[in-house]
Amino acid sequence: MPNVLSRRTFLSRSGWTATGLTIAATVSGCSLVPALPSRNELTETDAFTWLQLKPDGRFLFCSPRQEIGQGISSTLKLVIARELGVELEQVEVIAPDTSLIAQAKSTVGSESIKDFLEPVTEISQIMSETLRARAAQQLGTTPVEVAFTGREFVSSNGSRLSLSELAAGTPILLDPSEAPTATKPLQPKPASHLPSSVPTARIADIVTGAPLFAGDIQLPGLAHGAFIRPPQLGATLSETSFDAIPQDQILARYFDGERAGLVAPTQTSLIEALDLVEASWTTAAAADQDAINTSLALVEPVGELEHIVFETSGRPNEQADIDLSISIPFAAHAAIEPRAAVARWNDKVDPTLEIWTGTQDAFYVRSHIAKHFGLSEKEVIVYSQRVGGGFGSRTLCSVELEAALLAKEARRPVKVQWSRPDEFQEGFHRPPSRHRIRASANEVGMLTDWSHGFKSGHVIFTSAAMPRWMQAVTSFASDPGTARGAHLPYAAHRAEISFSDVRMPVKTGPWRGLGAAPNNFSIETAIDQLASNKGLDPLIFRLANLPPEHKRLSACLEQVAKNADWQGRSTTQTSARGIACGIYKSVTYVAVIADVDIDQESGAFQVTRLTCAHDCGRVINPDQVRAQIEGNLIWGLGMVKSEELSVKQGRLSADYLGDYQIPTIADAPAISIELIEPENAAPVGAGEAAIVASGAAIANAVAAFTGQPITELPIRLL
Amino acid sequence: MDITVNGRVRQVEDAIADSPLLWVLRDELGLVGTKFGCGVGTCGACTIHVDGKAVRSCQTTPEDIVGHEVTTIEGLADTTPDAGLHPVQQAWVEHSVPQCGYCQAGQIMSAAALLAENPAPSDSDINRDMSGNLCRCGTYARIRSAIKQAARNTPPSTNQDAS
Repeated sequence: MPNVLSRRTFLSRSGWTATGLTIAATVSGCSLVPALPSRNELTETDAFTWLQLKPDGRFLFCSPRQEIGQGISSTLKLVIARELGVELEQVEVIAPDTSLIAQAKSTVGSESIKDFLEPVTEISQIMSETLRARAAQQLGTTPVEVAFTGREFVSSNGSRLSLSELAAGTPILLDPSEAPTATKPLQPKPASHLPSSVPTARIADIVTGAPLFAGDIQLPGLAHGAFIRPPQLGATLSETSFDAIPQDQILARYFDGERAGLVAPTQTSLIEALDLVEASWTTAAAADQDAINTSLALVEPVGELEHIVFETSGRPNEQADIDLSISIPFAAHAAIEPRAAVARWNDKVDPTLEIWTGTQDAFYVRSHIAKHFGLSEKEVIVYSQRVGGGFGSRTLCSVELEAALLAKEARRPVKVQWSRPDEFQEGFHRPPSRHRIRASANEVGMLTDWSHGFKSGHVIFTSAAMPRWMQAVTSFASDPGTARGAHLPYAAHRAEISFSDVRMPVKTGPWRGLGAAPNNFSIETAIDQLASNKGLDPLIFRLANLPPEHKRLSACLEQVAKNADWQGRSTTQTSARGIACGIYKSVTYVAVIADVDIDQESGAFQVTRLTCAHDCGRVINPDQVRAQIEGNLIWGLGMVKSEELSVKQGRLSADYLGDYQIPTIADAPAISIELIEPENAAPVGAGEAAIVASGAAIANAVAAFTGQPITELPIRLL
Repeated sequence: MDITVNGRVRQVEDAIADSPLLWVLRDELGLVGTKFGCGVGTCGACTIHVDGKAVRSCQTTPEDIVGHEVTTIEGLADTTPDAGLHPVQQAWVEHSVPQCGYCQAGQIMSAAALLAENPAPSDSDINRDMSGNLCRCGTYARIRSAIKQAARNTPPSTNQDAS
């Protein structure tokens, strides 16, 4: 019996109602509110815009999720092909395009499978049922009498109707008011005609160098633009002159009192012209690393920090077995693709403004730019391009607005390609944090007291995302990004976890895993140290203190110990082992063992193997999940081994990748991963989980070797 | 000025003879597979071949390569006798190496040049020749496996030094 998919049913099954940022509620209705990152909730009407049957008989999936290297495009394509009973090549996936789909929330937080698998499955099933019903009608029979071959519908009397004949020249989109409910259970459909794993979308184009990224966009009359950058953070432009540039070398100059930019015919002429701009700058108070360090110093008792993450009724004892102060620096995303965007204004045709960019949030870019130019959102289209590495960095609007400003001035399409120094100096970074952990265990190795206080720069309520007045408002709010991962997975008799956000003079924001990477690093460093202090094996100590509700984490620990043949820290004259684990966003469980070779004389160390057990529930596309875990393990390695930004002479300490060292192939260890899939466990995210354990496992190996816990990142042994 | 790119003679204006070849390839010749990552030769995303050797195109100019053969990622497959992908590209697909994909053209060009010179590279050979090609997604384990597979699949060169 056909009936309308009820919104309530859809939402409750998809778990969408629990999302949304507090800030949106706090400040809604205020006309001064800037555009904010897209966190809106799904309605079934939105989902109906994602999938259509095209007149050529192929399916078009207008994805609400951006491809940033996590493999989501091909994974959702696999799901759709399974549900529709078609081949992969019959489904075309396009990146979020603001003109084609209803506003979708930003591609962040490892939520693509957790939150979108069900609606995508459901919409595919509804499409399947709808097409079958229509085909039956045209074939003069009933849906149950119609078989689908993957290309055509066949009635019991042998008459046939292909997908393109069914579409008959017009795309078939689902109408929420007419659609039947999905009748099948939301279980993976067995599909022997499809592979069990699919590689990232457009892999053939990647290996042959086809255009895929924003910087690859070519348009008639395209010019190249850039803004003049301040020599120091926070410096303001007082005067500027373009007089030294030969007139035929520039197409337009831009100056609005606060910023200056120019447009040139080619990228090379632009770079030459930029050198000739004369600008004078005023610096109020230069940012200073010592002042940042002072602002992060943990001088208050833990109980007096601003925000409480967790506390038991009994307070932890002040006298603790271990008392660690851990210092974690700024870190950069350092995606290999520097940001780029192309903007084109149209005089006589719609839309007024077109933007091509690689972003994690096309709708936020659209609303930010529309608001800036006083346009309606319909007048701006953002075409998402593949992102050359996101990791949280492409969640705001920056290069896109610059391209739009310069294109308007130049009256022609303009590409703005950020330089590597732009990425470091104009981008935003993982905030630094300081952690103090005091903990005790009793004589039988049970955790009794846990006190974790920390201070960190902002992650969500950051100066990179909001004007000064709003920063002031949000300074009183607890930043959920900073707090992520601060919960202790272990049971303690008395516990207290609290933190304060500190406003940084540097733009900060989400970096892979948000607060979870530094917070869990600190937790796992302290737990390991406490085990050492008690003379206990760190695996046994962890297992003994994990409560039953975290049995999936215990299972990861047991599995990784088995796979790596854990026999304790196994310290030799030249090597050691370390272990760590964690839970990401309460849903993904991970444990890692690191094997590390250490040269005592030089202080150099090499991670030789990372063994990982990972439970993100049911796995849809195993090889891409493994790829995400591999990336996370390497990020954890970089975080503890070499990555560090600081403020030096009023600037971020890095302009080029030589100044900020991300792991190279020579740093990369052998990796072995086991995916654990408990029965009936819902599929959840894998994009930011293993990072919470890999860095600590490596640091714990080094600590086993030196006998001292790692309390400052990156690790320096001499 | 004439330069040879992917087997074709292409004309570039004398005025850009000393510009970075990277931008000439991308903006003048429309070969956007060669990527910009840093502009100072520290990331490897812009790696091309000049006479079969891996070179950073951001550190090369058109006048440097006059009289030499340039190959970019778009032309790599044509350097092998068989139709279809170069063995390194093929191995990249089979090992599902790319995540975001941005650095991979440079990785593939460096790997192909490595294998042309050293058909059976050891781990330390790979580390030495590939360390200048950064990948932020962390695909290194797969890059290593794919290079080793391509090494197995690449027929030994006929003019290889017999010693």
